[in-house]
Amino acid sequence: MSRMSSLRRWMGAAALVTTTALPLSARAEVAEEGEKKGELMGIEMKIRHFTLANGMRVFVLEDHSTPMFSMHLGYGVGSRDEVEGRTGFAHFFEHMMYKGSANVPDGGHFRYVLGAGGKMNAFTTADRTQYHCVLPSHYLDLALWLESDRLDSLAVTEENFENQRQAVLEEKAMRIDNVPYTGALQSFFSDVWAGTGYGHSTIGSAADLNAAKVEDVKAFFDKYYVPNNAVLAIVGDVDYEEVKAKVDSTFGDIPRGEAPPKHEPIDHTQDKPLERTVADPLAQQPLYLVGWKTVPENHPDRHAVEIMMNALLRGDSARITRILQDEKKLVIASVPIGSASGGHDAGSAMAAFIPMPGKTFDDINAVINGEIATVKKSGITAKELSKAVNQITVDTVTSLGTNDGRADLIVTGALLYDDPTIVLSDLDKYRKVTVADIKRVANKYLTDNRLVLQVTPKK
Amino acid sequence: MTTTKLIAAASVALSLTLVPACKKEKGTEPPLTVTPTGTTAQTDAPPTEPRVKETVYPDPPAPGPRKPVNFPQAETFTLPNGLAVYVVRNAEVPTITTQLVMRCGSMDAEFVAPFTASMLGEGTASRSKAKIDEAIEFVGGRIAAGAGLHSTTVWSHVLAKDAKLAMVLMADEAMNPTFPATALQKLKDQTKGALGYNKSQPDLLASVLFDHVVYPEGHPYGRLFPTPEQIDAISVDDLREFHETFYKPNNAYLIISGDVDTAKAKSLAERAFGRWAKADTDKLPANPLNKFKSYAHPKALTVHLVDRPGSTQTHIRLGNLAIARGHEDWVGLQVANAILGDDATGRLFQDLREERGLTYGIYSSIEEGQAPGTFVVAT
Repeated sequence: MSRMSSLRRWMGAAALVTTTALPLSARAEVAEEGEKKGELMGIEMKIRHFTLANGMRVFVLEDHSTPMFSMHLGYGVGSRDEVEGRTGFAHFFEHMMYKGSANVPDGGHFRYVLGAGGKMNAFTTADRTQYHCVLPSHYLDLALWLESDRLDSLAVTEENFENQRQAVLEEKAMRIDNVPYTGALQSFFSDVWAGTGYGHSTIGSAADLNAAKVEDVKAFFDKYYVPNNAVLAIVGDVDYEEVKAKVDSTFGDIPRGEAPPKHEPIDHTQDKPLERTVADPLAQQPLYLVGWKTVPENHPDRHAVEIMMNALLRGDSARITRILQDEKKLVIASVPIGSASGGHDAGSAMAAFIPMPGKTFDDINAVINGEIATVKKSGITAKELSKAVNQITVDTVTSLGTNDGRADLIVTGALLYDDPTIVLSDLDKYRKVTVADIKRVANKYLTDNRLVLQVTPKK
Repeated sequence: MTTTKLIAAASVALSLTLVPACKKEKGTEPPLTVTPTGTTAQTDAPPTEPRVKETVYPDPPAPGPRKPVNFPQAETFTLPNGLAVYVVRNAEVPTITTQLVMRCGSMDAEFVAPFTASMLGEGTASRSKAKIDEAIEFVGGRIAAGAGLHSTTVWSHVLAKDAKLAMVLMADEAMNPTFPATALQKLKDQTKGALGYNKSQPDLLASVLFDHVVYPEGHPYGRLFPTPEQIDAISVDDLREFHETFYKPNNAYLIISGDVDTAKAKSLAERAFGRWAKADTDKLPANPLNKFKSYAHPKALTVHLVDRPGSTQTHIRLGNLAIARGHEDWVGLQVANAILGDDATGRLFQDLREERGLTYGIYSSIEEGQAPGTFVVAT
């Protein structure tokens, strides 16, 4: 990415997104090619992209400032795609991907990437599974070879399967079962979205993992790990034409799979409050959570809802946080947690509070209710609106500051929104939210049918 | 495997002698060096080749020619009051990150140092906390302050166009804090509240106990969680005195990085920090680590337990005292640690996680400090 000083517009900067069609490549495997350009505050994202004949979408953003590149490969499969009785599979599969393939030994990814001075990891969410690495730019061949080999020929064996089942159960014990609040939060979030793909945690249940068979794993791989369900982004010191030729030769022969299943829209109706109190033997002090079901991520109200929650809760000067923390001294912490529950097609707005010792949920709840009533009646000020937009602007600009951040945002955009530069057009949408929008969404979504969880220490 | 040998090596008693040195004004010079005496542990070299597999795998693609790396050059200058300024230009995106680092930390005053830092944002002679919060949050920026063992840092991150505002606020917090008593009480209550949370974190419990038993009595690196009584005892006067003693431009340095050039950095730094009065260097206290003249390893492998009812899992810390950051073997030890357990390619991870599936993760680390740090295997 290059920054063009002459184009820098500090205030009122808008995202500019254009798509230019380029002539198709002569190579048989490349079905479609083009360029997508975004510009914001003098930051330019000039993404060149192509699609292989097998359906794999590839995005390249050249930046030669350091001799490194970041590569993100996302698959459009997450825990929401799991079937009943086989929860935890998407994440379990992420582990299996490191157990070797036709040409790569078990653990080879770690050894080769870290051995080259790079770093690598992967993550699984409700909506996607993403593998990423950062390497010196002269290791491009290595990165493409490692990823294409496992997509082509993952070694799903009984031995690997058992070994990783133990590792995942161990991860669950460590990261979920042994950490205060986490179990209670996950079970609450699951109930909020019960009956949908978001109605269970990404880590899944130990019983399901124990019941899984190696055939299930193979079936999952064949269904979801196909090039037409994958998006690859490479950002950094690479040459587009070279990437195109090399992606062609490494991924081009992998056969296209069945079209990934489409997701149905998710009902956001909440016609009565969902309130729960859970005693957590690991917690030493209470944690309160208050939220509402709102809108899916592709809904036009998403930006206004996020700005409203930020104005109320984000930062010490935010309305509710200022009162709870500094004026009434009722809480140690008060933060908005937008994306903790649900996922891309199931949206909620939530806030978490850790009370000061001796302060009750009722004390805190009274302040929240009072402030929400005020917002419904009078909205927020123009200054509060600007502040929330400025906070999101700095977040966006900061995340665009690294190859890794840009590659992640490109894959996220392409996988979930079919728009690799959505990070820039999104910012434009945040900037267009008005004070009237805030009042409208407050009345529409902040209803009495709240989601309330109280986690209390178990005596 | 290597672990067994390392335990053996670790249980060989080493007495590490410290050479006291004056601190603070020495800048980046490590004030403490460590000389191991007595028996030096001999670690047999374990086999270096990877685990033998039946399948023969091809070599991965060879890398292309290596390209030169041009690290950004840090420009440096010093203000007349002694504040050293480092400028690192990185204009990838229009943001500026600034750090003001004071050479003082919880090793100088266990509770007072972190409370002093946390109170900086609670109000200054000319700005209330609400005013500071509103000013920095309005531009989407952030300011934070905190104290570690060796140093105290005030930090900001803003769009480049707001760097002047950020630096003026940072300077005001560092130079003119008022330490309001009501805010101190709030902070004490918050800290006491967070104590419960911290004590419920199993990994933290294990790490704190490990450091406590490894270091000699009273050592700043080996402290337990504070008690509510200790927190209650902190006074506004304690904070004022600590601030007056240590928060001086000639006991600090400033790092400005991002979309900034030296000329702009100079004008920003001078404007914000130029009027900060310097300290008489002889008034800066001696390094508290100098009191600890020797360190000893336990005579035999000792096991310490934290009973945490309800745990579904065990956190283990295994290790011992190692060497100070300034020790001549530091780099060598770092390389050894990289091989043993720094990441998932380490032998510990490959053996205990990948080969045997005994744990989700196992890593080793060496902790850096002016005094000897620890070598620790954690799982």
